[in-house]
Amino acid sequence: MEPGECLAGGVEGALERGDADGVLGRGGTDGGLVRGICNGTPPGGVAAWLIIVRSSAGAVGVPGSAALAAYIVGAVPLTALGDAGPVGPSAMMVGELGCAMGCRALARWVREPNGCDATGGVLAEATGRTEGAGKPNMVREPCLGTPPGASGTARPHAPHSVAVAATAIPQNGHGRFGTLIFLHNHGTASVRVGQTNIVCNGVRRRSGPIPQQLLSFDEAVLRATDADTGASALLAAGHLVMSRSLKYHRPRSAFCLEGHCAGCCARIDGQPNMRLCQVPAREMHAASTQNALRVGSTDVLEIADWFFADGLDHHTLMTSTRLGNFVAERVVRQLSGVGKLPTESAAYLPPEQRTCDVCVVGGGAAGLAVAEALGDVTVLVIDDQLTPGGSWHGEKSVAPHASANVLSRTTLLGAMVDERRTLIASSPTRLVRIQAEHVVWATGGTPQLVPFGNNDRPGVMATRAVGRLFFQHHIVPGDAICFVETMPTPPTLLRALASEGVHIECVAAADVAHVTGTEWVQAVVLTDGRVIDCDLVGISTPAAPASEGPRQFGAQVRFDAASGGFVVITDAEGRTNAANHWAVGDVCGYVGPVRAAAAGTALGRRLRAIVRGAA
Amino acid sequence: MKTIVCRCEDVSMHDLEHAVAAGYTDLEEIKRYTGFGTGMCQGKECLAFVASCVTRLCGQPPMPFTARAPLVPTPVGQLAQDPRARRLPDDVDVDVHATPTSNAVQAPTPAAARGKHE
Repeated sequence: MEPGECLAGGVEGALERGDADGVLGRGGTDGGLVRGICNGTPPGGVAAWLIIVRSSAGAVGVPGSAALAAYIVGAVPLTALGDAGPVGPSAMMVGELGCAMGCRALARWVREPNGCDATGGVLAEATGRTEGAGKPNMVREPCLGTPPGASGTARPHAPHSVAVAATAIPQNGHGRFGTLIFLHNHGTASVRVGQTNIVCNGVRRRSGPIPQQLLSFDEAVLRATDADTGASALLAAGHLVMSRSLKYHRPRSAFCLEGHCAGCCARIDGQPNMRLCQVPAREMHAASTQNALRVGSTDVLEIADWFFADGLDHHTLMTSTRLGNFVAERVVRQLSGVGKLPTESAAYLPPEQRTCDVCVVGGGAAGLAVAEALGDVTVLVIDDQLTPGGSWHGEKSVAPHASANVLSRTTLLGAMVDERRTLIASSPTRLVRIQAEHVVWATGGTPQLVPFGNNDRPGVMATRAVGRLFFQHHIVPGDAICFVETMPTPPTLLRALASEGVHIECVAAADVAHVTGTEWVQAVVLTDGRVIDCDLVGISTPAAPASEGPRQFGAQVRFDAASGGFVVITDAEGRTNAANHWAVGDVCGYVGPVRAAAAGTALGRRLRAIVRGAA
Repeated sequence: MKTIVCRCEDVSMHDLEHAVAAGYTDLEEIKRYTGFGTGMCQGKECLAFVASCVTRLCGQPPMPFTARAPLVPTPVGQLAQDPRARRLPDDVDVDVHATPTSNAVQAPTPAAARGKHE
């Protein structure tokens, strides 16, 4: 069966004769050929849907995947999948790929050979796009199988539909380039075979929780697990570009996954500038790109990136006339900037007051060790992440930390200018005022970039974020990962990735010239001309000490490039030069979680003696 | 091809070198000239990186720019829930355009920059 060929008898006929399997080679040598059949009744009189997913080198193929792809594209409900193959976590991961291909790659790459836009129409439905049901931004189940009228809205549909056979045939050894074979179902009469080349990255789910939560990003609907944040769910489903940069509208994606960078800023349920990596998938319904003039998946304002090839000095960006300046200023302000104001203001609770002997800022390795060593001293740990553990999450699976004295998702904002120097923190619902005798800064560090060309491309990610994806969100973020190092990548992470079959290369940061790829990295080019094919770049560099908090309270810092940045100066016991302010862990210079925890325990014991001695 | 030093505000290495060539070598000055460190991350992601670049360009490590509250972007609605936020009487006339004395420029404008823009 070749592209362009028509099969008599439609999909069912082809299946009965085994022709559809013939398309892809029954029981291919990779052992991953699977097929799933579903007999939904999509609108438009199309009798049958056939979805076949073929694997490549273990990257995408496990039994049941086709059924899952069918489920995700929306043809059958999950409960109907019993006979179509085992539905397990591994199947889910391929289902996600089916989703990535079905909803994203297909919409972009599949074009019907004879020019009819049947694919576009059907795929728009397949993505479960929200329609005018009175509530914009409400996610609805993909409902291809629903007869017209059942959902209350009549949808436009294609005269004939497409069945999908997605296959990623590795052409460069990593499975990033492949061929997508699809079948056009011309009613029940015949099937036309089409073929197109695609690029896909190797992100996939490893065994773990099954994606159930439904959320939408722009037009696409995707599924997420309980362990997912909005950002990890998007990455797992192949939605790689999450935002556009401020001035040049360069494509951006998550870099740190720790709520520091702006790579995953989006409008979530009507609220602008929310970080997708800091919102659990179960708490969100609909997200959308902001700061973009989108045509399909392209932001036409990206032309600014070409226009100002090196950068721009806005001080000299003037036209010769006053009127010209006036107009230019108005236009430029429309083109740049961040999200639009919320549709309705969120309701916040009045501030909450907390009093404690010791307030620990940061719930990472050092902070949790301090809190534990403090014993019966009243202590409050505030941590800005969804779950405590800090940089441990980048190196291993962290058991849930259940402790009443840890306030997660609470970020320190600064101090009140009052006699007590009350700390002010912000949680998702309210401000928290904290009065503490002692403040321990265990804020750790923030991942940094390293200088090479296009170092901001989606797919260039902090190594800690790679670890978070793997350990915290159960996602294998690529098939071939290149680590750009100024310090060694954690061996635990390398081992874990290798155990999933990920191809790993480590290069020194000084040797990297630039990366290629626009919407996702494709290769790292070294200064000696060598090209390393990869679908993810990890930046292994010492985290820069998060000393902005201590600095605000008067703690002195010094610049230490080897330790990551501006380190807080302490004495041998951990005192900063601000009274009753202490610092421990990576904020005093990068040491890594093991040594940070040891230092935290020592400081906790000292502080306990001090607090007990004073009482 | 751009090498980005500040992702939030799209400041490139070229912009940074341009600012240093114009005579701005202090991080506070470079921040005000290029806008680096003024975006969503407020310098968490770029301050140390820019500092190491400036060290390479100028030979000596700079001091960080001032850390101001709020340290992370905060919804105004949340701050407004603090009763102290409403302490200002209605009849007090606040000149929002006045520059606080603490922010006044202490050092003279670098000669290179003066020649370029004045």
